[in-house]
Amino acid sequence: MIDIKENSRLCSVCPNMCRDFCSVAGATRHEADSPKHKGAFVKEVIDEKNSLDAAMVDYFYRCAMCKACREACETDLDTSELVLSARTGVKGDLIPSKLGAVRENIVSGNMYADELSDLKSLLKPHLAKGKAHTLLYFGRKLRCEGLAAITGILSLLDKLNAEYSVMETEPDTGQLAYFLGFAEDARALAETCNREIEALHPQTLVVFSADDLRMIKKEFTGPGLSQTIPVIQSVPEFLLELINKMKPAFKDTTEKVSYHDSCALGRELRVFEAPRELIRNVPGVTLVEMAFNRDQAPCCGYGMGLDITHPEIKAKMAARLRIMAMQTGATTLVTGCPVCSIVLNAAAVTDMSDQNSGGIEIIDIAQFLERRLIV
Amino acid sequence: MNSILTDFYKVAVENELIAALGRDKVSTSFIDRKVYSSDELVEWTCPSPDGDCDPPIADFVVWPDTAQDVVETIKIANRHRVPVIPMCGAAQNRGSILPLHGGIIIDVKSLHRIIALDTENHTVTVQAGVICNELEAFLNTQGYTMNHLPQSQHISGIGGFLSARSAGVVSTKYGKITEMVLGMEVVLPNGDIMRTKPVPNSAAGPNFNYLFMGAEGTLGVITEATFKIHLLPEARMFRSYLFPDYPAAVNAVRLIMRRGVMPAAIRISDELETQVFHKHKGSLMIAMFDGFEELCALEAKEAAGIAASLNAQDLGEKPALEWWEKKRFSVAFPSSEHPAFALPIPGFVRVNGCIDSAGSFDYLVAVQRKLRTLMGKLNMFVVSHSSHFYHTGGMIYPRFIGQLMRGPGLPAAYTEIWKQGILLSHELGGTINHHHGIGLTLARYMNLELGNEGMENFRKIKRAMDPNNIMNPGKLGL
Ligand SMILES: Cc1cc2nc3c(=O)[nH]c(=O)nc-3n(C[C@H](O)[C@H](O)[C@H](O)COP(=O)(O)OP(=O)(O)OC[C@H]3O[C@@H](n4cnc5c(N)ncnc54)[C@H](O)[C@@H]3O)c2cc1C
Ligand code: SF4
Ligand code: SF4
Repeated sequence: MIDIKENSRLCSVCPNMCRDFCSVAGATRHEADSPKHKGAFVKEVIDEKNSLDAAMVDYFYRCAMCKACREACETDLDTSELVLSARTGVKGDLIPSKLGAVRENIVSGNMYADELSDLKSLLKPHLAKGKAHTLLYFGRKLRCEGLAAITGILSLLDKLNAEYSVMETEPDTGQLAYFLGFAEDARALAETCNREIEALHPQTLVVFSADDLRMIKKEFTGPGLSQTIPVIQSVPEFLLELINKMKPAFKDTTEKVSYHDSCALGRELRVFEAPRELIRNVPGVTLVEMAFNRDQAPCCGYGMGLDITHPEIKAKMAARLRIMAMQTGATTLVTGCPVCSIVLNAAAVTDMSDQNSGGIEIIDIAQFLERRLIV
Repeated sequence: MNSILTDFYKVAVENELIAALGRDKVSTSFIDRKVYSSDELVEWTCPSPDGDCDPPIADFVVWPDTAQDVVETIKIANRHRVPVIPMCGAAQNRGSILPLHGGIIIDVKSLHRIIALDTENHTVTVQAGVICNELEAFLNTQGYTMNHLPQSQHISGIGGFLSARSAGVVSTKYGKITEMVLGMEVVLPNGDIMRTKPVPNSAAGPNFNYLFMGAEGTLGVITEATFKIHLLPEARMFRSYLFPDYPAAVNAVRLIMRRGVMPAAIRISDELETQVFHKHKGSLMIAMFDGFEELCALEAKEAAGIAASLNAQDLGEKPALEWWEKKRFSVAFPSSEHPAFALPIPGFVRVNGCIDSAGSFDYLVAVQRKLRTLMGKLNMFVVSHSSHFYHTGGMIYPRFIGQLMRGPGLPAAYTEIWKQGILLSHELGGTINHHHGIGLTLARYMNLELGNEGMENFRKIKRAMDPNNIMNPGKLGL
């Protein structure tokens, strides 16, 4: 349990030591977005020097829950915990109206648009029937917006003759509800999700969206899937095992490739090496690191719901990351989580900044490998 | 302190700013205005027993995208006689960005483009709001470094460094920011844009970079600058020596400099810092040599010879390496046990600061000894180190930490600490500041530094360039 009072006091007197790493403040360049000031806002509320009003509540949602501040903080303070506790404490009329609607959609299972219609036929041959040895879980956002990513991974797995099953409909892990501060809803969703997945008795659960994996492995605190499923893996870890076993051939290319560490895969789940090994596996590829990588990598803009609550901030975050990627001279940016590539690719359209005029292809690790595989 | 603007005028100025820059680059929200108007100085000079004093609050915050946005802002400010306070990383503190009379804060951090890397000619050109660490991380991926590595590298940026004449930890070899900059782009107080040429050197009249460096936002807004860059060093070599006392360690540095040996970093702790933070008795010197292997080895050997001739104990590379890798930044992070950040005794406030100054080698020894006695009388704990050296002397960084009673006597008690420290530095022949700058805290001592004639000429320059006194009014003793 963190000491919210003392932590917020310390952040409020900090000379802003983690601001440069903050995914949001680094992109918006607004002082009020810095972790120090988030701490100061919490302190003011605790000390009753300021009451929660709509303007301040808004700042508690201008956070990507990325925990880059915690990694940068040498005293290990975690501003996102302060923010999350503030979000959880926001009740009634103070909940921004946009967020109220988001919550209703999450709870009713209508988050994002409808599932992609092409998905049904794509998944049909692989539907789990009663039992699933290796279960592939995509996550809600991907099932609605990630047709290319899902097509890519299924094609790759098929080419590698991998055995796997998918679910016809997927329950929500509760990640979005959890990080937006709806703790009870998140718990209910997670419990349902656990039950439905457990009913298939998988031995290995492979989770495509890194934030769902983070929810399953890290944030859900009850007796969860980690107790009942022997192996729960990210896609890069799963693919690395598969490729080491199958030893497929890849086209020889000459290209510079950079890699973006998603917050969940990297900082939270410590999956740094598997995707890099996979990229290096392709002959002729030079892996070039971005200025801020691994523990310091900024969030792409998805931000555990920030893309919905503050799309203008998401656009700035994604644009900043694209520029950072382009500065490496790479022609391709690979992401470990497909949600990041979806967000980053959308930024090319929404951000008209002169430095953002394209010039780099952004794809997830499965698509990257699939396109370079010699069948 | 209230803004000088009436509500009617505020609306007019806001509308003009929005029309010129666009809605999303201008804020009048109370949260933004308050956040941008915060500085420790407010609490440390607050006479109220509960420590609750309202800071002076800005009327507007703007985030320019281009130099032209800055031009537009300054023209509007001139039209309405509205103060303009440029802000970058906000790490200088010392009240330097407090909007004493309200007005417009220009947060230059939004000018954050790395414009050009020229590896053929060893330069990088950046906008003024790039944070040091962003630039350094980028340069490192390209195999380069600027070698400006202050403890504030994660929080301060180009505009602030230039405006406060900053020094990084490898300044002994590579110089302060003032020696790294080649050319600058500055929006003048009348809205004109002035550029100095990014050439290696020149004899064409005065060097105008020096007009803006150290001006702390009183003579214009720096929007872009070109700097020298260096290849990342192939090797770094770390050495540590324990001297009997601080004067002996200073003497060793003098001999090292005289010999022409150029450590990238050299840092000596006074006896108290050596005892409290390094758990040794005496005065610890840590040195880092960089470049290619043979150069480092030769310089380290020469320095070792000098240390041995002064009976220093060789502590090997560990203390120096630990400082470089771990301790360089950690002291700035707050924790509940940190002497500067722990909860104060009820009714008291924790204060801290550094009376960093520079002078000859003799000066360093004299000021270190006398300041400790002076600060002791004011119940301030003071530890010193010296970490920037020159052929003729160096810098001393006496950091004071203590608790003062809240209430009406607080402003005078706090001011007294600075007064005693600054007068001592001045009387002993040092500059009143080496790299943290002046801000409000030291503004009243600027005439000690420049002399009455110097100050009068400075005022004339200010009046000529900024007749409406819009640029960061009330700072630098102007
Ligand atoms: C923990 C900590 C460690 C530090 N360590 C060091 C160190 O090792 N070395 C060192 O030199 N300093 C150090 N400092 C002090 C600080 O980093 C320097 O004073 C730095 O130069 C200030 O830069 P900034 O970007 O934070 O500027 P700010 O604080 O934002 O501004 C400083 C002054 O410059 C003016 N200004 C800012 N940008 C512009 C612009 N574009 N045009 C015109 N005027 C402008 C402002 O109005 C203000 O008067 C440290 C500070 C802290 C808190
Ligand atoms: S998390 Fe740490 S570094 Fe960041 S503001 Fe808080 S105390 Fe400072
Ligand atoms: S969690 Fe991320 S976005 Fe939120 S304050 Fe920390 S660094 Fe910034």
